[in-house]
Amino acid sequence: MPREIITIQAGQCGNSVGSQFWQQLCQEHGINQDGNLEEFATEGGDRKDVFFYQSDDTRYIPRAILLDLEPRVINGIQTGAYKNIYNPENFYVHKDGTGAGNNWAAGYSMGEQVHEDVMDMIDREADGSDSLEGFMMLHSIAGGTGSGLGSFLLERLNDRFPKKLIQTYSVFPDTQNAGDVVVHPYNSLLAMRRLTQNADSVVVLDNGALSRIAADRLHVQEPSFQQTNQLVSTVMSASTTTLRYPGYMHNDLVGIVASLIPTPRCHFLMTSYTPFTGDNVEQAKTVRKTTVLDVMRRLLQPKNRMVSTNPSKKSCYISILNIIQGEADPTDVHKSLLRIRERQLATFIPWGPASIQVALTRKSPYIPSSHRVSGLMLANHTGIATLFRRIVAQYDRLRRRNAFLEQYKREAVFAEGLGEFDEARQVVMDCVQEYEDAENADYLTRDVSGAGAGEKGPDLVPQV
Amino acid sequence: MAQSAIVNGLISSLITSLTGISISDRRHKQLKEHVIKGARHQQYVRVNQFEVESSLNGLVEKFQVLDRDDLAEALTARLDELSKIPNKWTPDILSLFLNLSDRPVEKFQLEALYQLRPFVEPEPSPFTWEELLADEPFSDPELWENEPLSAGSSDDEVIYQQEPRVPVVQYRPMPVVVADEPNFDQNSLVTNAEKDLLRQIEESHHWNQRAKGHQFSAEQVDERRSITVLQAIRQVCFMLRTLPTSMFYTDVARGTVIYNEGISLIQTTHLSVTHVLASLADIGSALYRLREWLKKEQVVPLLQSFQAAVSMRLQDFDKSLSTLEREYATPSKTMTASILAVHDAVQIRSRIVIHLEGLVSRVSSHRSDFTCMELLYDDICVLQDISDSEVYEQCAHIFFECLRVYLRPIRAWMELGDASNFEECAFISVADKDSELSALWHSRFELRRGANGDLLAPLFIQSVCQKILNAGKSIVFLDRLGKNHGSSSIAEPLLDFDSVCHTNRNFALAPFSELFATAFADWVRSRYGPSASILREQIFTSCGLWRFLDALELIYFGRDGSLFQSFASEVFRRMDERPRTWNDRFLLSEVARSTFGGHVSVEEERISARTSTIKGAERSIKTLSSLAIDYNLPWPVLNVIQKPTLVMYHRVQRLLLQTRRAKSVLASSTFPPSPRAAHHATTALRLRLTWLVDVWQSYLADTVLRPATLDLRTRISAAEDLDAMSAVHDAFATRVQAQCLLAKNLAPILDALLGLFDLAAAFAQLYMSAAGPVAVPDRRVTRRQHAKLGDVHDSESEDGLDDDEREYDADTEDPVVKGGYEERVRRMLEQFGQQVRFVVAGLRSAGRVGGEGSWEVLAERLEWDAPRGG
Repeated sequence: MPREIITIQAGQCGNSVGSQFWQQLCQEHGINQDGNLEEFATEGGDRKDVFFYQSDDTRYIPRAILLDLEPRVINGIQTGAYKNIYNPENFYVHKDGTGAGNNWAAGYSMGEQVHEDVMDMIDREADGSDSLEGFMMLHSIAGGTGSGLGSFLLERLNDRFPKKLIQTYSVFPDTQNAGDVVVHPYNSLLAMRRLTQNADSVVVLDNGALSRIAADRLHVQEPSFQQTNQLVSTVMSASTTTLRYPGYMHNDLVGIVASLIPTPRCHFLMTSYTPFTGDNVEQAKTVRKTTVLDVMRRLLQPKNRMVSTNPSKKSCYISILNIIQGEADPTDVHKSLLRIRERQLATFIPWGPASIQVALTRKSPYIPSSHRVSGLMLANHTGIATLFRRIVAQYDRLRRRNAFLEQYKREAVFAEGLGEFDEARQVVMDCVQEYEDAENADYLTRDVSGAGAGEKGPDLVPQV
Repeated sequence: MAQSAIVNGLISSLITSLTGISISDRRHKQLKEHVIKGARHQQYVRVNQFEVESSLNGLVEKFQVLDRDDLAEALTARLDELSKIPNKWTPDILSLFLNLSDRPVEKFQLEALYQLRPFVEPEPSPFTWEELLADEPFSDPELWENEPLSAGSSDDEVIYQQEPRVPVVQYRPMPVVVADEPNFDQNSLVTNAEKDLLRQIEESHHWNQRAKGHQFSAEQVDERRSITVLQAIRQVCFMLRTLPTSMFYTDVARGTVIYNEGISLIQTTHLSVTHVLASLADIGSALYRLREWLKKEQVVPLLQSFQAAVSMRLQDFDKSLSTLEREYATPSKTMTASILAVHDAVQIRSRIVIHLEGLVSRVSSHRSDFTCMELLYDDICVLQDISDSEVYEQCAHIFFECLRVYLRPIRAWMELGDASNFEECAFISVADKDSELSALWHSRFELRRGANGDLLAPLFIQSVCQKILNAGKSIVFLDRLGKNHGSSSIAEPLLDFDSVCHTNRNFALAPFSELFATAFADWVRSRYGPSASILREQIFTSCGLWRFLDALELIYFGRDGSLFQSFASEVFRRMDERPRTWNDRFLLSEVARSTFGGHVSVEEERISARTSTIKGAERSIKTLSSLAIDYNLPWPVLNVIQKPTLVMYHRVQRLLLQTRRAKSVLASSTFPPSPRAAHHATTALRLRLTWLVDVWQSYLADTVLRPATLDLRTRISAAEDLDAMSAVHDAFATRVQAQCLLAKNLAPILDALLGLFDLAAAFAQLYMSAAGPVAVPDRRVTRRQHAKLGDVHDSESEDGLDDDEREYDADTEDPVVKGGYEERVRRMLEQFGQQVRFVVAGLRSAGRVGGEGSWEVLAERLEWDAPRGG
């Protein structure tokens, strides 16, 4: 009984990242561009059925649903190298093809229109799995479709599949450099509310950090989207290796989420990956020494984090899961943990154990790698609150000037006023508060009464 | 000219034969001239063959017409026969016949034909040598004389001399052996007893004369008689052959020969020879005892062969004694008779037999059959050390002769697994004839031990006894498997003195014990190697050891975590839904089969589940102890993975299930809590419990099970035989058990750990009860929350009603929660701290007294709790 995961890709960014992700998965499992197994793919022991199902002609088909409101990216996928692996019935492009115009509200409203078609697709995929574990959503929160339609789907999925886990890989906007989308703080804030309330786990990927890492590692000034997407797909594939290559230490998604997330709202995860080298960039293949200790130490370095934050002195880790791929000796792992502890390379919450878990997994045997070991860190870090604070700050600035609000007011969500914005801000601030509370040593003694505002969060009755 | 002369000759003889006129007659001359004239005028052309043929055919026809069918047939038959013989003159000859014929119809009589016989040359009458000799007698009779054949033998010479010389050689047709039965008076051979001579001899034994009629005894020493040295030597030789003599007498009871001091030598003082003669008597005693021992009948083959070897050495000695005696009896040169020289010679020649006598006397005092070999072996080593090479070599030869016999049943055991010789093959016995096949290797046969635990085998082969036992067991095992154990392709190394001790002159100084040990080990290897390697191969391939190890790892250790998780989830779902009846063994068997059966390495039908009832533990994580999954292994594999070690697998599986159960109940409580339950202490407690379970789980997976199983595989594939394999597996089982804290002495630590898991279960229960009945304003969230609280793994029922009911039940069943949620959580937090500290301290102290290094690892991981934590 595989614990299947259905992937939902929404918007331009989600679909670009998604196509890269599927390409990577195919390569790792030895599946060719038509969905058939390569002749060399005889090793076995991997679980392809978590992300793929087999059609009648034994081809492997991704459990993926590709949604967009404008056809450009999806057309690209449909004409790309891996066009044949997807189930053609799982593409949904809005018939007008106008897109959401970088407007969360437009995307959200269009969700109402496309709702039935999309839910039919999702239902069909869910029925096709034996023991569905949950959903994985890929989107960005700055634009219109991924953000708006994504938010809408999160809500609906929650209703439709209350018992299933929902994990998102959400690309956050670059908060430090002005991006293409001026209104990204509005979109982000509104989507953040749904991420907080309707998702079980959010892997935060920050465009700013991604560009910085890509530029740094690949030695290019202006990294292309394709290059940053490669980073994201690498992270995604690494974070799912424990599911795809089950070993003694197997955790399903619920298990992983449970270890990392102690309180329901603090479910925003940071990631680090090392060593990252572009396959096609020769100079990036620097001579590295990849021992387990090096990998685990580098994963803790802020420059490898895929989120740009400005952690305060109090910021600390709530929990860490290191997924080490390759030939790692358990003894080395233990020694590395001792070293991290001795040198205090990582600070943990003052009221809990140093929850740093290590999962050793296999590497795909079909992809040659110059590194003996590679590692991915999934961390629940209180410093992520600063990213949220930035978004809120940028939102506040726009909101004070009432800038660009007209296009939002046109949509049904805001028909009765801009209360939605306030609610969203409140939810995000509560979440920030909860993270900041956790940094304090008196967390245990400051009781429910003291943290009243924070605790009400998820069950908040809409206040007008 | 020549031609005419021939023709003239022919003509004249023709005339003579036809007319009967002799050549001297005048008429003859006339006739001759007439004929020559006639012939000269004759035209001699060749006969026309066709004409001849047609006239013959005509003749045949004529015969038939004239009613002489018989004649016609006879002529036709002969013509046909003639046609088969090609001859160019045939027509001419036939033409001659035709011309010669004279009224054949009338004159010819058929009978005349039958009178014709082919000409047979008459056999010459066999002429005989007599005729030949009569014609042509031998001119040189000396040539035909035979040399007397037995010229070297004086006896025959006499006879030949008596034979009258044959004046004329009579020739015999077959000149083989001359005089094989000589013609002489046989009576002449028998010499008349020379009574005079006998009397002379008896008189020369004057000392016997006097002694005649009464026995010797030690007291009669006063009457001294003197004899010559030569006579003494003769007496000594007799004595050494254990023949009765008058100079020595035998004490049968003590088995000794004693010098009769009543007889001394002429020309020497009594004292000077007494010592020498006594010494000779000692040698004689030893020989006497040895001969007595040889007369005893031995039953054990080994002793029989030992006896034979000793008897051969004694024969050798006797021969050399004879040589010595001859030197004195028929001296080839002038020599001095010296009793001292004889003593020395005898002493040298008897060393080996004297040594053997010592050995024999020691053998007789031991009970074991193989003592003689042990003693021989020890002697050989000592003899080599003191460089007594002559006796050393002899002893070594005897040793190898005995060894050959001793190894006979052993060889049968090693090559054929033949159990019939067990009585003889002392150190192997059938321990349990009716043992199960699964214990074939380990329990059916064993090394036989004495009452004090000593192996009943010679000391020098004890080191390889196990291998010898294994070799036979391999054969029996292979027979049971129905596999051909093949014939040994390795030549059997020789085990004899020359090949063991002389193979390499470079090792001339090497100690015998080393040389033998090496050679014997080689020998055992040559017998053992092939069968062991075939068996090893069979265990790996046709018995599928690797596949069953795979299956065990999958089912019991959760090597494929996702399979194991599926199984665990299904069990947990049943536990949650039917807390009292979840452990139905048929349903659980089905669950296990459907989950694990899909894997290539697992055979579905071998899986079965066993359950028992554990009272009062329904809510505890320990209730999982009532479930055990069995995987039936075939008997060849059970000889490696022995039954007692399977308990370890069950216990590890139970532990893993308990761990996963704790993890699963904790995971089910991660969803938004109600305000009442939202409590920082709750968060902290859950974080800690989750952390503990994660640390424990990763410890089991990455520190214990994965390295241990990898190591097991490497070691098993390197193992030489089944003993080594099962030893490796036993060590593996013990180690895993200790590392998983399942050993008896670690029980308190494990109990504390399981107590913590129970705490997790209790916490989840408490949390759910607290979260359940609170009315939450947002219906949407509630539905989601309730559903997830109920069971994360339940994928079938999407109905909210069930969940509500379950929550209600939970609430009513746990009244303790009421009123004290916060306090309870805090108490749990304290309890957690205490228990973890206990576990860490326990692990530390267990690790300090020389336990597993992995306990330190676990303790260090568990210590990494924030110091400020509760």
